[in-house]
Amino acid sequence: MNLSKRIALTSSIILVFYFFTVVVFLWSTKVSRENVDNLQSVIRSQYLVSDISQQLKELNTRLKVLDAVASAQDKKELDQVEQENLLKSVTNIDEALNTLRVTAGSDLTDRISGIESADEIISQWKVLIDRAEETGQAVQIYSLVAFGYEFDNTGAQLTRDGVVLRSLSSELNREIDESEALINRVSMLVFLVSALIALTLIYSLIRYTTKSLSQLRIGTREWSRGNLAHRVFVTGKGDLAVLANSFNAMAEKLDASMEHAHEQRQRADEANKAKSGFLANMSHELRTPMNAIIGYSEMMLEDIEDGVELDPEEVQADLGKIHGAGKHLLGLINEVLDLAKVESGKMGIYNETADLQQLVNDVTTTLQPMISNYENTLDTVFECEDREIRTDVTKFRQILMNLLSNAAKFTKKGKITVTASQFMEEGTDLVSISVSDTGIGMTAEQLDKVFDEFTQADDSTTREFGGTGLGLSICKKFAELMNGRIDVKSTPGEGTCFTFVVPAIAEDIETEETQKEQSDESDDAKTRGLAKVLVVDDDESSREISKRILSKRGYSVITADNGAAGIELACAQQPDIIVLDILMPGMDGWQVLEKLRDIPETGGIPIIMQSMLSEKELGLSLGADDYLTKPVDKSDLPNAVRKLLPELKLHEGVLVIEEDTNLVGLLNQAQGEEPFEILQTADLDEALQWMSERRLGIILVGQHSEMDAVSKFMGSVNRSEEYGDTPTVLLNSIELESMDADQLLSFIRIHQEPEKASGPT
Amino acid sequence: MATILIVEDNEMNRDMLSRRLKRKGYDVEVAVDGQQGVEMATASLPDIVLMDMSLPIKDGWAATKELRRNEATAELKIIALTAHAMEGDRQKAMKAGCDDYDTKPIDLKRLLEKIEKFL
Repeated sequence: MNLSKRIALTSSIILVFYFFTVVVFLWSTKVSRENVDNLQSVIRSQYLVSDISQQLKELNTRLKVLDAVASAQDKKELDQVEQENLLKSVTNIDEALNTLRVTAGSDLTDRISGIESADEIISQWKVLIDRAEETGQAVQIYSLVAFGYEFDNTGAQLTRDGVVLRSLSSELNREIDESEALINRVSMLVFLVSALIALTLIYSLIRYTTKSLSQLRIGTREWSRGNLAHRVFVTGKGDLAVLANSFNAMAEKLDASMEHAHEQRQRADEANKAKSGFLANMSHELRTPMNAIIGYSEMMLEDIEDGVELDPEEVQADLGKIHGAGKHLLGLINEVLDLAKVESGKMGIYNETADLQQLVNDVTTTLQPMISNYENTLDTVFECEDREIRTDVTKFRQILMNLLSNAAKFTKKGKITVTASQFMEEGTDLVSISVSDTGIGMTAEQLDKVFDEFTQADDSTTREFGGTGLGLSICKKFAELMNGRIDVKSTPGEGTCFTFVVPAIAEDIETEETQKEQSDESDDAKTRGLAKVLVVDDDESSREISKRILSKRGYSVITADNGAAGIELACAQQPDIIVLDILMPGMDGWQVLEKLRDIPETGGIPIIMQSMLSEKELGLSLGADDYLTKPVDKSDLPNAVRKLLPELKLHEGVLVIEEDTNLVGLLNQAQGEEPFEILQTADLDEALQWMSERRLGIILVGQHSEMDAVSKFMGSVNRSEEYGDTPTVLLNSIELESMDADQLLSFIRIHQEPEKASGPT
Repeated sequence: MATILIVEDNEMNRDMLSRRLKRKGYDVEVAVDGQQGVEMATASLPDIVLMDMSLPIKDGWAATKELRRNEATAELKIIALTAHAMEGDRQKAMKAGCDDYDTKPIDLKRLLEKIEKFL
């Protein structure tokens, strides 16, 4: 049960008990009120009974007195006053009886026996008095006195009733006491029980929480100590159990990632070790042929210096050794470069179509001498018909050469078999070349490392068989680059079989160059001060193609996807050239052309129309400066743009002020149909000299160690009357690094147009 | 004249060094692996042993140690002559018992100075 449910349950149980307590309280209040009411009516009845009894007694006594007086005076009737008094008394008693009946209620009335007899007397009295009044005669005293006995009797009865009522009231009193005591006990019990249950629940809640939290605390402590195998144990399915499980999962993940990190570190350590080993090995491998080269050449130099007569045969042999060692060195360096290229991801794949059988035969023929050298025989088996494959032939050949030369190296007086076959795997047409030998073979441990970089089977292999331990790792990497693989099987002492599998028809993938082209677009550093071209075209892909082609040539390109936006951009950005598509929804190219020509700000901007429609003449007559029919060749658009830009004024020369030759190199590459002279110097005085001698097209400033002096120089040139017209432009190192020849030309062009020039001139 | 034993597996280096040393007037003997090196050193007790380190059958370190263990050859002057020129390689050679250490490619002048020092 989760924590919130536990708390809810505890609270509801406490509430239920509280409710019970309230019910008991209400019930007890009701019971006591009833008891008190009963007691009140009993006490009142008791009072009324004694009052009635008293009144009856008094009436009786009065009657007796009246009777005595009457007998003394011999008077048999009551006088008027007496009669009224009597009547009044009787009425009072009657009323009292009625009150008693009401007060006592029916239950109690039954228990008061005197009421009936008192009622009887009173009613008989009333009959007597009523009759006397009817007849107009006075009431006879004797008739009244005749009730004397009943009076006494009734009085006694009422007295007894009083006693009964008194005992009843004390009984009720006792009952009230008892019920109160009972109520108190019940309330107390309910309170105690609910308090107990509440406390128990709270206690268990706290205990569960504390226990779980302490488990978690212990867990975190253990984990922080590094004991990641520790697991927190929390019972139930509650929140804390869930939390504990999350903690456990976290610990598990942490444990796994720690292990992973540990493994990685170990692997990195191993790689590092392998790299240091490789460096040592490389150093060794480079020094060994170098020793021969330097040694033999020094020896020959000494001979010449000492005037020793040279034996041509000996010289030839020694030169042959120098040559061989040099070639060996070159091979080594190439292998290292290959590996470095693969590792830095710069190794490209260039697929060509080739004949499989011919390719394999080429390699076996090349290596035949090496194979025969160790008295091995070679079998070449073609399990498939002769076929064409499309793959990176150079790498294919290199892999096969490596596998075959390894087989030749590690086999003596044995047999080497090259098997070519083809098969389908997961819908891919694959070719497989396996090279098996009957050579020294490899142990399982050696097999594990056979493709690792910088590793050979063991150090003694290097000594015995030479090599850098790079060949197979290069092969494996090449195979992977070609979407293929190399597998190996081997038994020590029996031989080794390498199998090289590649797709028979390789898919041509996007080369790095095209990727670079794309990334060029976003390079803002290049676009400072370059000619700006606005491309207006509704078709996204053709807009993007134009943009990419132009950006690559060093133009800063802005685009609009409809005519109205194009006009707006043209007004706002004042491009140097506008490239305009004709077929566009809304405002078409013709309308845009007309509008652009009408607006003074854009009237003078050269416009190149570009369309599927062959309407060149119409376009030119409507004011377009050039017209290209789609599809356009890659170089058509940039050429058209270049033609419309102001002419380069470089015939009198470009002065380059820089200490290295970056700019000069770029300018040399940019030399085209109209060659221009490049004057380079780092010396500012010499620069001034040249400036005074001829009219220069532009002065370009590149890297210079004394930039302060150069800035001052540029400032004074710009201000001077004599040279102020010659644009002087500083290129920062970022621009220099990122610019190619085309971009530099367009950069120069834009700076020769004073109103377009920007940047520090 | 002093006798120098060259222990070297690489044929070119062996040929080149022996010729150059002979021209300088030393008597030169050659061994092509560590085992042969130990045998020849024990048999002819040369004045100087130029010991390559990466050798087949028995490497230069093991051969040097063996020579040091044998009473007859314990005092031989052994110069490690190796293409192992990384940090620690000198210590490794000296620890095996070499008296000096030089690296390939050989600087003949420097090597001769080292040889002369021991003669």
